[in-house]
Amino acid sequence: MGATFRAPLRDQARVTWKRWLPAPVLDSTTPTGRPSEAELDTLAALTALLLPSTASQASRDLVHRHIIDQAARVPGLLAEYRRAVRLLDTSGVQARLPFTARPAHAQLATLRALFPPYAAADRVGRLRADLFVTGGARAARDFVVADLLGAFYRSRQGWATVGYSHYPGVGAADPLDYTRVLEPVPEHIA
Amino acid sequence: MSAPAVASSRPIADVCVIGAGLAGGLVAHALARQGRSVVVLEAGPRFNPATRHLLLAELLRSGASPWAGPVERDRFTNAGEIPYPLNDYRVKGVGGTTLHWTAYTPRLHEHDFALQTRYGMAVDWPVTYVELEPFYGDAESALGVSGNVDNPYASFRSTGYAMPAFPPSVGDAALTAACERLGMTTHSVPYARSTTRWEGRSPCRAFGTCASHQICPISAQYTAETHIARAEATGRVEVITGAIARRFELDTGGRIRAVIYGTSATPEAVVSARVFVLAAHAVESARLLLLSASSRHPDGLGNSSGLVGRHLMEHPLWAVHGRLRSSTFPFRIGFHTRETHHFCDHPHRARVGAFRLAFPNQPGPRPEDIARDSGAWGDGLAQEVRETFGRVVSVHGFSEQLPDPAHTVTLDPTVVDGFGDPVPRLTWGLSAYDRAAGRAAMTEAVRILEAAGADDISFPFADRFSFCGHQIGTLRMGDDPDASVVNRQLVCHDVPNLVAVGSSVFPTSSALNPSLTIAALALRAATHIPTIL
Repeated sequence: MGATFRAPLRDQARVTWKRWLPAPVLDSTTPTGRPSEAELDTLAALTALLLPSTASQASRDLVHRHIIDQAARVPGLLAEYRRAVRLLDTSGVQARLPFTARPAHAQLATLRALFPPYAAADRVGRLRADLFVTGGARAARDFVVADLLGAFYRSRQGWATVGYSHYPGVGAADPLDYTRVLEPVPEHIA
Repeated sequence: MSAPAVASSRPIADVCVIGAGLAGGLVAHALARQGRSVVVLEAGPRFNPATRHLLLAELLRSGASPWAGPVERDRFTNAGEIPYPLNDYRVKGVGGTTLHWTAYTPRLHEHDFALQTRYGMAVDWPVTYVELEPFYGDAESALGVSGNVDNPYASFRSTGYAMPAFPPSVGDAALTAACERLGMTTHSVPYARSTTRWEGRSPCRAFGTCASHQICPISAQYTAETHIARAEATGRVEVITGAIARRFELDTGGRIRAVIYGTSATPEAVVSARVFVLAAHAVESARLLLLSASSRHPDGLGNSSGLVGRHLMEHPLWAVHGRLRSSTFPFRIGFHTRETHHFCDHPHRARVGAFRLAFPNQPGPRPEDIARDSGAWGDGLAQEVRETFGRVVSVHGFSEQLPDPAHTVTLDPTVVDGFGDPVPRLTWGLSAYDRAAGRAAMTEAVRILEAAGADDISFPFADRFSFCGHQIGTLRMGDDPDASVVNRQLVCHDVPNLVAVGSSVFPTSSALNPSLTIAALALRAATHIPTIL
């Protein structure tokens, strides 16, 4: 056998600010239920900005079904959806207008202010996003944005962005497909 | 002798099997084929194999395990250094834990049976690999195991596999080449899962949910439902579901005359039989013997050695991740297709436990995980998912754990189940020897990943290890009645008509999964049981 195991220093030092900056906690004492149509529209508008490829009616339906299902099933999530809708409706330079009534550039500006984008590997960006946004925006990002992104990327459309036509839960037309390299995904699909 | 609690209206069966899982199903079927009458008690329900795709759909939608049982029935407590998440890893129901297993079916290494003789560690098994080898072949045939005879580390075998092995995945290539450079040979992986249509079982269609979601929607892998159904088809086997065995009752001669069980309808029903086969897994089997304490057996039935419930073992899982420059196209099959048994037996086993190394085909983040973890959205997120997905590779080490008498299943002194019976209390932890095996497994995993050109090496588990879900030990098999619970024929030293089957009887754990050995021992026991009827 090789040398004695030692965890790399980098790994040992992977103490994140998450330890001293507590993440928001889902309040599971709030009731489940169904969002209103207006709330669904706002969340759909949010999703369309988060995931431009969900602009199709089919994708919108998928997101609608997901939100209705989650809100009815997961205690605490309906309240977070509603809080996120209120946040979107009351934030940004055109806050006198409901989020869905704002022009696209204003919606985008609102999102950039609430959820400053950063890549997963960008630790400074992540720290900045955690430290310099309001608690409400952080909760919306952690619960609602993450939920909507997750719903899309575990769907058929989401897996298609990495070139997959079958994925966990969907059988393969050719069971030996897993033994072959896939073609790169054209950028316009992703 | 305790007084009979209730009378049975059912005729006395030849054999009563407690537990309708892998071992219980095989024993019931084998005895029924010999013309014996068998009653099987199963604590859980009967799930319908024909609707498994619906269970998967619901699981994918809600994330809730379809196998979880009622809290009252499955309550347990922990008292050890490391809490053991028992209910994550057991299923009560017809089929038992094979309802949610990965169907990985290696034989143990021949040296696993002789750890004391070869390395001065723990104890030897009272049976050798040579004695068990024919039953391994029978077990592979019964379960329908696919595999290739290409493992240079495996002990000899006298039979082939029922089907060819699953070929390697795209992702296996880099790690296999790295292993070869390091002098480790990789090989195919035996599974009780079909590569071709086999005895009415569908070939695998790569739904990719067998390990991650613990359901095959088309039943392409073996479950013990198969042998329970075949046993029932003989007309000599009755399966009673929702029947929780509560205690054994003895006759004046010291033999078990009946088992008392509870259901949702009655707290006390009875099955009388000539022989009782305990096949309720390592935790509940030990618990039932402890619950059967009487004036004659004050420390529990079969416990004159004091070893009932002791030597609880598991296979700790040690994982290391790395990142390659290009995608390995993971998540297209639900199980690993290449591994190495290079360290399943090694010269330093007196100091460091054995371990096997496997290359999961579902390592690292899925697109969903990348999206959730990233702070990007819009086109930036799409690009990040596309560029990041599929580059993480992983090496999993599964290590041997030595039997430690301090790792136990006992009766909780205060917590009871719905019938008022004490629930099992688990005391489990890792010894220095066990941790040395884990460190060695991770060291070798890092070497493989670095040889494959991976960077960003990381360790996904907060405490470095996770669980495999293999509860082993608690009713040790041995020749010495003072140092074991059952003999080499799996008959209890103290009770001549009590047989224990399952991983509970393993004296040591090996680094390899227990199921095929459970099956081989069960088939072997079924040949002996008629001699004690």
